Parts: sequence; C-alpha cells; structure tokens
Amino acid sequence: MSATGFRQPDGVAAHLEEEFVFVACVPEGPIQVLDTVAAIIWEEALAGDRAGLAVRVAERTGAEASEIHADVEAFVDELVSRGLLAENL
Amino acid sequence: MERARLVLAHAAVQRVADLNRVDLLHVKGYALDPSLRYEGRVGTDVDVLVRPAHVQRLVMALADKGWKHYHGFESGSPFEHAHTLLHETWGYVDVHRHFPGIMAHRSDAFERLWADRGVIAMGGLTCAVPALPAQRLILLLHAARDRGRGPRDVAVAWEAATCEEQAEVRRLVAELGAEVAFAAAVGGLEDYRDRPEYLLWKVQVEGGTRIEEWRARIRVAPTYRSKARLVLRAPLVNVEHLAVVLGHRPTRSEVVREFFARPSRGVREEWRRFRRRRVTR
Repeated sequence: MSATGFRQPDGVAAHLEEEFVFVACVPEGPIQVLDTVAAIIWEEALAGDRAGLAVRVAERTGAEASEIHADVEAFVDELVSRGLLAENL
Repeated sequence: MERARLVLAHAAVQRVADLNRVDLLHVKGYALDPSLRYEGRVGTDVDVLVRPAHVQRLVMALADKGWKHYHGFESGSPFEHAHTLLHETWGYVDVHRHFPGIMAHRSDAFERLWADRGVIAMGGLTCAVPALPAQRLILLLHAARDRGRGPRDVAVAWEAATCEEQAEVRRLVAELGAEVAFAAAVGGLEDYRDRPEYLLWKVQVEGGTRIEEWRARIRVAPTYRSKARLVLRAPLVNVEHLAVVLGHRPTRSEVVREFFARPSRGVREEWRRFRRRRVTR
C-alpha cells in the first residue's frame, strides 16, 4: 500500500490466483474477475503511488507508458467508482 | 475459481462477524494450515466455530445479508453442532456452536481455543484461526466421522506429526475432554466403553442403523429433560432434510408418507443387521 496511491477498502476482499484477481464487496458480492492486464493494474495500484502507476504497468506488460496512461487512469477510476479500490488522498 | 470463491466466502463471513462484533474461528477447508493440507484436499464450504454467546447474533446477521436457512442445529447432524446457511454467491456456511467430540463446556472450550488463536489473511481480511495443535485436533475429530477423507486426514494430522506435536494434541485432548472422539480417530475407542458418548462415536466409525444412532444420541444427552426431548423428536420427520432430498419444500402428504416410511425403514435396517449377525455367527 502506498501513502499516495490506493488501498483495498474495508469491506472489499480480493484473492490473487494465477493471473487472475477475484475481487468483491463483502458480504454483498458479486465476485468480479480481473484478468491479465486488469489484474496487473490492480496489483500495481496497491503497490505504489498513482503518479508512477502507468509506468509500473508498462514495465510488466511491455507497453509504452505514454500509450496506456489514459486507459490505466480510466480503469482505476472505474474501480474506485465501484468501491473496489480507495484512493489515499 | 472454486478456491477463490471459498476464500472470498470466508472473507464475507468474517466481514459480517466484524460488523456485528462476533468472535469466531475459521476451521478446516482453506483456513487449514498449509502443513495439514495435501494435493486434492479441497474445501466445499465455510466452517466457523463461534463464541457460543455470539452464535444467534451471527446467524441473524448472516440472514440479514442474504444467507438462507438450510439446516438448523437440531436437524443437521446427530451432534446438533452446526447451523447451515446458504448464500447464492458464497455457498454454504456451517456456523458451529461447538465442535463434535469436544465435551468440555462450550464456552470454556471456545475460550481455550480463542486464547491461543492465530490469524491469517483471507481475501485481505484478518481471520482468526485455532493454533496449529488445535487445528490438528479439529481435523482428527472430524476425520473420525468422515469415512471418505478421514484416513488421509489422520495420516497427515497425526501419523506424520512429530512426538512433540502429538504430545501437544494429547494435552489439548485432555483439556477439552475430547478423549472418546480422539480415540475414534486414532484408535483405542474400546477403552472408553463406559463413556456416554462412546456409542455415538462407535456408530460414526463403524456405521449403524437409524435406531442405533438415535439410541446413541439419547445416551449422550446430558439431562433427563434433553433425553426426553430426543425421544419425542426421534419419530418425527426431519422436514428440512426431506426438502433437500426431494428438491422442494415437502407437501403435507409427502411429510405424512415419510412419517410412516421412517420407522419401517428403521425396522428394516435393524432386521438386516440382525440377519447379518446370525449369518456371520
């Protein structure tokens, strides 16, 4: 968890298995499955600050950070809006 | 996927417990210490042992969050130990008010296990689990009534344990009054023929007829009042169980048919057993 990045909110459970992340608001559910790149974004969102997120994802996927930056940002915003991630402000 | 669902199911139950200040220990399944698991040992549900004073609160809180009643304490097993609920996402949860084989007072037993608890993360939530010797014991007590997976569990939890690990389990057995069930798992059950719970465990280990099982349940009931309650209940149809067998809530005529079928089934089982004994003599 990073002071300026994201955290798993209270009431959200997540389980990593192989290249998947299974995540759910508990106890309500349902289970959402993040695969491949989505799973990497989840892991990296929890691993460091927001500013470096696209770079960390790019390093793991072989993409150019500048090319994926907007999509990564949009995806984490989507996770935050669904209550599956919380941003440390 | 099934493993992920069950891990998250543990987390879901823990979240409900946290929100309702319920003390519970996650037992068996994916809460087991890795040293007690083996390839192919998969969990199918969530088992939690709950502080007895908190059991009702948890059951009500789970029901409030979408778990449906499946089996009550009295209809689930001869030990009347667990209330089973079912959730459309999380599957089954067995809420244990005690663990079969532990004869110490329920609150004292829970307190003993709670005092030595450890914690693990399930889905990122902190879940309390029994200490390793207690996990070993719980697995053995369960193995005594699980003729499928039991021998393999005994091999892992007992036969592969070091002398010191076995000594820790034996100390716990004595503290929790679990001698008879423990003997049913690892051997030596006949040493406890004078204990009220002996017959119930013998039926678990060797199998038995319905009538033998009810006889054993009545023998182990602690008071005359509870014995009388069992005697009155024995001939009644277990409507919840019948609903599971039929796949729907039984109609009145199905309940009536089952009422008359059960005693005759019991008599048939006794007759078959009697004939086997005569043939083998």
